[in-house]
Amino acid sequence: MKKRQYSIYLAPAIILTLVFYIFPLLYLCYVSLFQWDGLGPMKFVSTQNFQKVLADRVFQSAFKNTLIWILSALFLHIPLGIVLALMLSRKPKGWKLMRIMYFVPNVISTTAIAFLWYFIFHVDVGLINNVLKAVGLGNLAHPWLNSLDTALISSQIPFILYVGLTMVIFLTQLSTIPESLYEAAEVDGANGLKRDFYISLPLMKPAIATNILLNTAFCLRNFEYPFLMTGGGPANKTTNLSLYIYRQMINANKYGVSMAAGVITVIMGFCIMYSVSLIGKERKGKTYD
Amino acid sequence: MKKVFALFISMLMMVGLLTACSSGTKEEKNTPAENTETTEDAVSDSATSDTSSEGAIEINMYHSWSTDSTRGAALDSLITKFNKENEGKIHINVTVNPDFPAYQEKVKAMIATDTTPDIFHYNFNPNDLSRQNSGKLMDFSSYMDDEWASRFGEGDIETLTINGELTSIPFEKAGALIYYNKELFEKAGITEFPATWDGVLEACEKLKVIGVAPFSLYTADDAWYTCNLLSYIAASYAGTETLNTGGSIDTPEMVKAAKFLRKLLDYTTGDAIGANYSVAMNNFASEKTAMVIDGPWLIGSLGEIENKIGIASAPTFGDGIVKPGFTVTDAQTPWAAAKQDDPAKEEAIVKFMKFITSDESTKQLTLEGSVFLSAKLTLSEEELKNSGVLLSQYITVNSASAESIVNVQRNLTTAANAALPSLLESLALDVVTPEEFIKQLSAENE
Amino acid sequence: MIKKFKVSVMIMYFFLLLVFAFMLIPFVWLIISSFRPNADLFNAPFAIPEKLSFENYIAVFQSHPMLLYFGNSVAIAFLVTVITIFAAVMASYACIHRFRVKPGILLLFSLGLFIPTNAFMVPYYVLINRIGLYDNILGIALVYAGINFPMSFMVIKGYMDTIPAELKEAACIDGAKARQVLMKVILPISVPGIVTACVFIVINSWNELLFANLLNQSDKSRTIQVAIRSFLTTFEANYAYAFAAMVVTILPTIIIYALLTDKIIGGMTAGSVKG
Repeated sequence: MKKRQYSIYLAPAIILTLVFYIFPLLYLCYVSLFQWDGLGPMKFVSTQNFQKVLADRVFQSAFKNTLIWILSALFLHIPLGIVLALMLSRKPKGWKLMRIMYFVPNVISTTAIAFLWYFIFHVDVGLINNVLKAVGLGNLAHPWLNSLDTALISSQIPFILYVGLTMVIFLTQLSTIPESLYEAAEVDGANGLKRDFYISLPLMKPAIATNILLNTAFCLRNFEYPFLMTGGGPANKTTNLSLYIYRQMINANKYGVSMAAGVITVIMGFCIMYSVSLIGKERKGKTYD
Repeated sequence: MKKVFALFISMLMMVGLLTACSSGTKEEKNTPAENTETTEDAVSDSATSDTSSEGAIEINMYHSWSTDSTRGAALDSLITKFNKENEGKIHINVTVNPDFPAYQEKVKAMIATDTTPDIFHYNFNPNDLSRQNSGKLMDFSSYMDDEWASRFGEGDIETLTINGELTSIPFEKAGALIYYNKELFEKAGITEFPATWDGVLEACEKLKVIGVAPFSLYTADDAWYTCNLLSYIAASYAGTETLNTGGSIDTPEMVKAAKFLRKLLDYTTGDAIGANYSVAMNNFASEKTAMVIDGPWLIGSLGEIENKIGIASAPTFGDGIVKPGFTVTDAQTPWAAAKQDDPAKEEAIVKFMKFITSDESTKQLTLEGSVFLSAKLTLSEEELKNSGVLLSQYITVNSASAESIVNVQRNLTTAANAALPSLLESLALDVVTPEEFIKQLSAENE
Repeated sequence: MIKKFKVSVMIMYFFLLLVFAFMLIPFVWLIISSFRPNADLFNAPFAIPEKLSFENYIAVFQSHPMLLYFGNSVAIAFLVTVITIFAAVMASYACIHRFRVKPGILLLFSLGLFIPTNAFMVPYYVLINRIGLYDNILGIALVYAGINFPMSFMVIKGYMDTIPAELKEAACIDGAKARQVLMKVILPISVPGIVTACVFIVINSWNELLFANLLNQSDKSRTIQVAIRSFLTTFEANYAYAFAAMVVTILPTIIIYALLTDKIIGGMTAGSVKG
């Protein structure tokens, strides 16, 4: 390949990256130093926007909630995916059907799912409260999405529960493990859980790394669940960084503040994703190559 | 296996191509000379869009009154009438976005991107003049002669004149009155709507006993019902004059009002926190709640229960600070227009503005659509009687009010309004005290 | 030993079915509710509907151009896939060769993987407005292409890296031109990786709400997700209509999935584990 050819082949990708990553990054850093309502002229305010954002209780809560989302991915969503994948890898009766059905929520949009669960948790027409009332536990009925103690976890339930994609990635990894390994282990008397712990789990590391990366990325950009299920409420208990940026821009018309929050989000996201990918690389290095 | 993948992808591409083509042709059809914002929205009317004729001046109008609502239908029939009267000369294309908070955001976005709708309406807020200051709105001052100006309520033109430019034509100006369900009140053993706020608290307790949530309130979007209630209480503490100046809201009276609001927040539905207008309104219309503070457009949504509903005159604290029967009005919702290069189009817009604010149109909008306007309304006794029980009651209470204030939230900055929902939720859930609520709101307001 | 084995199998089945029930019941409830009048939802949430009523569905179709929204979503998914895959395949192909600035280029492309693009709300919004694609499906598609590019590039490049070097060299020695090598040798082998990227892109762009909402103003560019969002407000809290609308929006994807289930699940992972 000649020099000129490389540039032709790389051109579309470079244009996309420049337009959708480099330009926005520079623009974000630049305009975050201005006060701007989106309509009128911009006014240079130096780092005032950053000071405002960092001192804003709502932003602090949004930052914390985004971290909680990532933790729920690491300690609830992914472990559930692992458990289900290990169970299905035993090929119990109907495992194919289950694999298909577990994946269904992933082809339905997040928007529809968030909306559906909004109704499931609804105080009056909601499925959960009505089931509770039907079985005589009406006193446990609760405004799940509207009370301080349950709002955040309730808005995370659909994400934690719908592990289809995560599970399928694990299953694919499991299917690459040669049967002979298991047979050898069986001779040594390793059955059931032992087999999972000592053979399957260590060999699933690359898939775990992939899933951590995918799910962390999802939690960082997650917008639909808080936006549709709780609107960030009650009292900002469920606001996350995406929603904070959105609200500052669209509702408060504080474009500068919104972009300062954006800069902080980019820095935070970059650090988290980079460290996650380092873990992934290390693990991959051990099992592959 | 690979072949099947390829088949799947190519199928997807074909479907995509087909729809891309079809939507492409649609775009062309709908793109007149200067503006690309013409496609019909969900519930826009067909009557006005299909009869577009060659050579007529096309005016793109964007508003939020769904044709499913009575006021939307009334406006729609007026636009159809205007289009018919001016056939071949002027034609108005309508786009409707019934989600009012979202609609207002979109209008701002369109002004920012130089795609300002030719005609639109918005909530006027003296503390948010970003639209007026954008320099992209048409100035009506040269068209506003004495005759036209005399059509409007006192002071409305002055209020809307910013820096010597009249960029908005007064339109809707509605009182938010207290509606109550007489049947539910009777069931709870309350014979008359209480004249004092303490009486309201007692009534709430009685209503709660029979399993009815006293107030329809909500906290999402603009939390309007809740702010109406807050405004009524605040006016009862502070009097209408101090509140109308639009000064600082960090006053002892506002703190008292927030304290009282906190008490009343215990008397609303379980879904009030996080609910929006339609949810809370529906709670009242389905008789789950006994009281709501809403504009006249509520009447059109009540349906069968209309005859059970009464309109109360506002309670006070009995200390003479406000006159009984005062009202809280919503923000003015005037019309505005995009700056035009073409003088003929500018005149066409003025023609429509004069048409929509005329005596006849005003009457039709009020009687058919339950809309209350800045433009003067002249009704005969006969017309008042035939307007429907609730509407005539509304007109009576509205016109009998000795004084009124504008809902406090309509004088807050955009930032304070954006913070309002979460602050109200914090108040309701005791995350903040009423003092902190007012402090934080006032901090956002600076 | 045998008995113990059975108990553990039972626990396993119990757990699998429990999760299964949690996943499925909401959808069953949704479908049943969508056939019931709104008043019944409040008064008797669990009563079995006396007859199937299509009233809600008729109302939904009458008040919203659902097919147009579908068309928009499909068109956007299609455009994004074409743009992204084109850019990613070209770049991946270049990157299997060695050239001087390659480390820098790789760094540039992978940068996007670590950036939460939702932070770019204002920049994307301003950008799309400036190039005049606000309220246009092409504008939304371009943004999605940008968002999806880094991941697609990594998946496809990861797959191409596994192609044996001899194969590429052999083709070059034969005097084939770069374009021919790509079309005849590399591309056919890379199909699984490309399909994986496609499935990810289609699912991502079909699901996206934030930018679809931000960059949309009228029906002509409204995606199905933005439409769902507006149901609650425009139906004036008529939940039964909202349920019917949701069923309408999710049914086609479920049908497509049911028809192509093996290919999607297979395609989802063919490239992702290798890369």
